[in-house]
Amino acid sequence: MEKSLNKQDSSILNSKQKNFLFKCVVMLCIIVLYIAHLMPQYENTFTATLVDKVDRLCSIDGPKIVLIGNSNVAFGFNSELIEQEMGMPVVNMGLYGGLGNLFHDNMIGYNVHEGDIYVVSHCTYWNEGKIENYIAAWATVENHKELWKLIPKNEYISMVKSFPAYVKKMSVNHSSMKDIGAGEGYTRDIINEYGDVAVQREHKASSERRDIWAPITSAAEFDVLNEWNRYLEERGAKMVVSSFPVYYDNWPSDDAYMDTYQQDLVDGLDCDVISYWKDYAYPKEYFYDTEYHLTNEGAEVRTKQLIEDLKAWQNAQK
Amino acid sequence: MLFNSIDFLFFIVIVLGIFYLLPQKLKMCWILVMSYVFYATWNIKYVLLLLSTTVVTYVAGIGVSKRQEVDRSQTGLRKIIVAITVIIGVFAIGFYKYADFAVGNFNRLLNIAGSSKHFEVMEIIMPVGISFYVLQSLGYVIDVYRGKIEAEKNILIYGLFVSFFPQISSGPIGRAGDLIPQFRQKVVFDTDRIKDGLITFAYGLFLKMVVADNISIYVTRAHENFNTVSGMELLMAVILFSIQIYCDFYGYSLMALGCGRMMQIELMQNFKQPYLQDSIRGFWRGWHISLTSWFTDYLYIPLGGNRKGKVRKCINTMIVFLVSGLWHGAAWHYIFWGGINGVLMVLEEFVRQPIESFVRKLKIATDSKAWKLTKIAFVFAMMSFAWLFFRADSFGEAIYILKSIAHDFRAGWFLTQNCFDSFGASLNVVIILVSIIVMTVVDYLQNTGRDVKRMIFGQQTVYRWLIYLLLLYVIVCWGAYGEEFEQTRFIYFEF
Repeated sequence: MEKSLNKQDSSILNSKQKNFLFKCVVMLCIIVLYIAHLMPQYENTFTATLVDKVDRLCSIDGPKIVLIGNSNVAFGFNSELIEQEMGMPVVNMGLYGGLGNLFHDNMIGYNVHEGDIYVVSHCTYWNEGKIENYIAAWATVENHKELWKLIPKNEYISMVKSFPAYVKKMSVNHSSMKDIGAGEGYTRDIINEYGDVAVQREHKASSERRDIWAPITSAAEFDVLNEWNRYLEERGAKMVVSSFPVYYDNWPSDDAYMDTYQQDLVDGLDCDVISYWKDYAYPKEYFYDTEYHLTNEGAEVRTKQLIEDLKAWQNAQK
Repeated sequence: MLFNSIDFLFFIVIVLGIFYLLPQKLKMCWILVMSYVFYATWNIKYVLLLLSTTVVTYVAGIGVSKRQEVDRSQTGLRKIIVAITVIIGVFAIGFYKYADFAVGNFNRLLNIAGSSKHFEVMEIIMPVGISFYVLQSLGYVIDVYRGKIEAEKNILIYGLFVSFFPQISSGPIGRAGDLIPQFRQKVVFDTDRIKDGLITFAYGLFLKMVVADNISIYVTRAHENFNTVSGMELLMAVILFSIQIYCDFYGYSLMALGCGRMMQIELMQNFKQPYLQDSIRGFWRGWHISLTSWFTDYLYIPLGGNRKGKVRKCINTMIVFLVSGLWHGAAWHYIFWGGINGVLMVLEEFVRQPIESFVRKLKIATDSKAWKLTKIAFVFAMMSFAWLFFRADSFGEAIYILKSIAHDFRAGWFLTQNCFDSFGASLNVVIILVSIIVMTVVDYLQNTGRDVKRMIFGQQTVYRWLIYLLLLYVIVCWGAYGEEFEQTRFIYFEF
């Protein structure tokens, strides 16, 4: 009898215990509501341009050219010119290096059509999907659920761990943009309808850094891109790799190193590498505020080179 | 896995959730398994060390106890068992903690002697918490030997006593007589204790993440650049470090206490407002109580304590503090820190009466608040001086800092713009200042016998919830963590 009473005691919560659990739930709800009230906090910053880019990407029903990569892509092309020359709509998906290559690669999966051409231009091929700046990643995806799938699966835990830091930033330091890869003037409205950074850009001394890293490659990174290449080919689309702009005046490695790097790309990737790095090597005057961001003039030169490379590649396909 | 990490948040939620769902018989087994999982997250290889410490002291406890039961005259053999156990324990700590220190000093001696011989340091990674759980288990064996407690027969219960996860990494060093009976008691879902545990944990988190970690930015920068920053900034760093180490370790201890309380286990209080005490002795009665009382019971008293005259008492005090210094770290500046504290204790013992009579002659109202405050400030200054040797990376660095402070001393600096600017952003000043004031007020209230938790729980629901939410908000928004701030370990994890 006593045993059964004890059993009953332990299985049924008394009102005090129920009340406690209810309060815990209410507390959690308050926290969730507070965070929901704060989000989205970075709708006007550069990283929020991704929302517009994805909108454009998803809105194009038919073959298109999609430029994939970090901010070297956003600051590096005149998509309108590409569209005129290639006769296909163009979307510039270039965003921010701190988000990692895989984050950018995942943009490929949004809206694939037969005949699409995905031009990938990473500055290096080694980071194996790592997000370098988690606060920036949170500030980018915020509560835009359609962007959450860009987070690499192996980064879910790190993203969860960095969530309090993002909440803290939203609550206390939301106006400081530098740590989310958006310095002064990096706002959502600096891009045009294609996704290119379209503001006037002249050479700045801040681009003349000496601690530039030469690109390196890794098999894991190639595996990711080859997987995407297969995915695209199955849907009748194509992936090609093009060079990033090389700050030739300050470049840390010699030409032989870069030739080896180029050969590694050709050997390791299943898709075509359509450009030769040296065609994208520019003097410092072509660089805007960092070693990968081009001035308007630099972007113009690079765009023409890409068009030339794309046409040559298309001709070779025929 | 640090208490102030998201990993631990998930860990504790899972541990507690399952703990309360499991039947009574399995609850402690679950905590034991989780304690080993917790320990394995630091370094899985050292789980074996924890296990062997448990087995050795468990067997020793049984051995000592059985002898006691069978033949009380065989105290010699029991003594040998205790001695062997203590030697094994000390050897374990010695090997992992002091081997490289010993080799380094031996090399230095060889160098002085002109020998070209040089022994390679082994670069041993010290197992987290070894200084704590070895002392705890040695205390158990000695207590069984002394007949204070019965030997624990159930190895699972004993294993939990040694490895209980809230306390394994940095204490409090528990006593078997207090803890083991609690592992046997029936656990009920007591919401009052869980609430108490939660708020204790949250306040500990506040002390660690908001006070200690924000201060550590200033202190670390000052010590890393001690030969370039001004003497006054160094003085500020010295003062702030006293607060940092208190909030860091007290914060950890509160989190441990809170975790234990959520599982209906009451751990030993490790701090009792040490900086509000008006004597060095008072400070040590309130600082790291579990270690101080361990050394008192198992070192100071066996050495003779205060039973063999004043001189012997002073010698014993010095021994205890030097050992305590060495326990804290394998470096001379820790030993020196222990020595300074020993000297302060001894000096206080000798000068207390002359000073009291001198004060009486001056007709100072010794019961006035101003006099008490003066004494508290003096003790704080003395302890800060001692902490400098604790924090500095070398003896030379500490001396350099002292010289720099003496050379550059300007009391008015604390009210200048330079002082504020040395903190970087003005928000940092606000955070540090406000959080120190909150901590001091709470300590003051506790010191005057008021239970702050009871005061909070006694408020109306609205105010109570505002306090909870404010505490949470302050931890999340003012806490030093995130990308720009590398998560720091608790200072006492190094010991």
